[in-house]
Amino acid sequence: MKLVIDRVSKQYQNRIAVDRVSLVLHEGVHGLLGANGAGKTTLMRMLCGILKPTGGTITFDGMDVSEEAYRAVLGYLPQDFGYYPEFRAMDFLLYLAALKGIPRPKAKRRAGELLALVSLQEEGHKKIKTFSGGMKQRLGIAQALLNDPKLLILDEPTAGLDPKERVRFRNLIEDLGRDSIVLLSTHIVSDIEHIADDILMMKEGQLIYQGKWEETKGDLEAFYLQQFAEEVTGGTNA
Amino acid sequence: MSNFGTIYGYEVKKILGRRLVWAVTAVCMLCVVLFTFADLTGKYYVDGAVADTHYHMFQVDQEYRHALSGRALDQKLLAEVSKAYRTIPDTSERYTLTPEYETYARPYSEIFHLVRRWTQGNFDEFREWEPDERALYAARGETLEQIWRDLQLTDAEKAYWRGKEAETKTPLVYFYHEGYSKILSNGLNTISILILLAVCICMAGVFAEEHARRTDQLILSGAKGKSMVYWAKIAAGVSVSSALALALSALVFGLVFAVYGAEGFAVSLRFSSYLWNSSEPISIGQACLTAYGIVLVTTAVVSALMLVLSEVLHNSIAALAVGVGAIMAGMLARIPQQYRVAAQIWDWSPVRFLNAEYIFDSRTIPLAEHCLSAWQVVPVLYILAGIGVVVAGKFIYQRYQVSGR
Repeated sequence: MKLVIDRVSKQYQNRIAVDRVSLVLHEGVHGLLGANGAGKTTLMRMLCGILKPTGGTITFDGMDVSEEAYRAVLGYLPQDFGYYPEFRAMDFLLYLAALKGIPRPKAKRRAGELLALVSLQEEGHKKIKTFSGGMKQRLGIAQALLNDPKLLILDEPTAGLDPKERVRFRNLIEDLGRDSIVLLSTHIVSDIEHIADDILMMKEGQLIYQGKWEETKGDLEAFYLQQFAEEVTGGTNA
Repeated sequence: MSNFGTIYGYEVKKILGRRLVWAVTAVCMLCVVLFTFADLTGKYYVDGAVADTHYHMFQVDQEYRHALSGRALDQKLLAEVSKAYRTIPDTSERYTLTPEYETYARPYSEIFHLVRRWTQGNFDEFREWEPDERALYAARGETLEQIWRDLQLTDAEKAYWRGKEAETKTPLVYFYHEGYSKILSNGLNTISILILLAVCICMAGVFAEEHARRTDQLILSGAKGKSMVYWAKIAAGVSVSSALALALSALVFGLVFAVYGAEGFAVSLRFSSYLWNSSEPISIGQACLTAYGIVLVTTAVVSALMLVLSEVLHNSIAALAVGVGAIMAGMLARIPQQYRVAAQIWDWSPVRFLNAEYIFDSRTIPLAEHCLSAWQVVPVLYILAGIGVVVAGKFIYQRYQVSGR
């Protein structure tokens, strides 16, 4: 299982959001750190095929990002995903399961399992408009897992979760990373420092760090904040 | 495995889940009910005093028309009409207020008005007119020739319609047909505006709201999100719009038949007060079915156009503004008949075409040595144009980029 990102760039009129990022990711949890505006969301959108790179290629086990087969193995939780207020949670999952090409009987079974996994089994028949922010976020996590994705992309997944839910979510991600490639973006270091097999750090559209973070290298948060501080003061890359 | 049916079902659910759709449907149905009963409400005043109620006047005329039903428009009937109208004395007041009109002429008023239309004569000229069956049908021909000249028909078109006129066996036989007449005139005009507006309002947000709500990210990252969802949305929008058109049409037919009666399906279109000048060799019932069939086709095509517009503009208000603006332009703007081609194209556009006058237009499209009528050609052109726009919309949808949020 291999996700290959080869010199991927995204350029807007007078701004480079992602600048020639190259990566090869295998099974495991990959934490993507970066300040707001670093290019994390843009990179993730390109990895999900909803934003076309201006340069470079993205393939998963040889499948191009533009192919339906690529999207069939993809699970995606956007940073600011929307929902249908009048839909019940179960309908929302069944609809998205249909979009992912999952047959209806399997979708029903899987949706039930996932609602239980995110502690929403009692709320499955309630309309989403009655949900709190945290409940909506858990529903978003559930939809990303509907198709047992081989490639799971989570953009700021812990936003809106309370501390207890964050811990539960971290454990869940750790489990998923055993059989899938999980790419998780955040600007909160504690979300990933204990579960990520690999740390990726972005700044101004460029990948400034990739690799395992070992305690011998020091405190990850301190390193991350150092990059951020340099950005604020106009410093150069580490 | 295809999940089209499931996705289609949820897309329909999304559309029907919006309160706006139900509010628009309710308003449309209320308008149809009001239109049906509008002619029958209120009072008829003469010199400031109530002379009758519209409902009673309708009942009286309906009874007279029923009495004429089944009679041939021949020498005998024309002589009776002429004799009845000659009993009306010369008067400075309106002839319809005289007792002679009420007693002798009113039972024949339906035929009298038909003769006046065909001969383009006035009341005095009719009273002096010697009833002559052959002269009446000849006068209709002369009147049509004048109308065709005004419409700038080509010689081939005139020959085509002369042939159609000649196909009709005379004398024509009159049947009571008030229900179909209402459906074809007021009913069609009312329902066409209502449906077009309703479709614009209900379809403007189908694609645009996915972008505004940011659900587009979830959809487009799904395996079926870049292709099947587009078709499912188009199918859902078109079927909901068509169902609305069908429901409103059924309501028009049901209410009108309940009030005015359903008799007269087979009566010639030439007896219609609205389409008397059409030479189409069809009955008024066939004309109603054709017109409402075209309403359904046009609704489906306009809804597809609105859906694509919703995707292209990514903004439901902008899509609604364009749609409603086009309808308003269709209602208000008219191209003079002397600009034959431009006027014909404009009158056959979806915003103007849902009117019996244009559906059964004397202007045709020449094809080889044949002349094709508007009702034969325009729905086919609409369907082809609709398919073209929907296919183009698919490419736009697929190329959409989620960015800048």
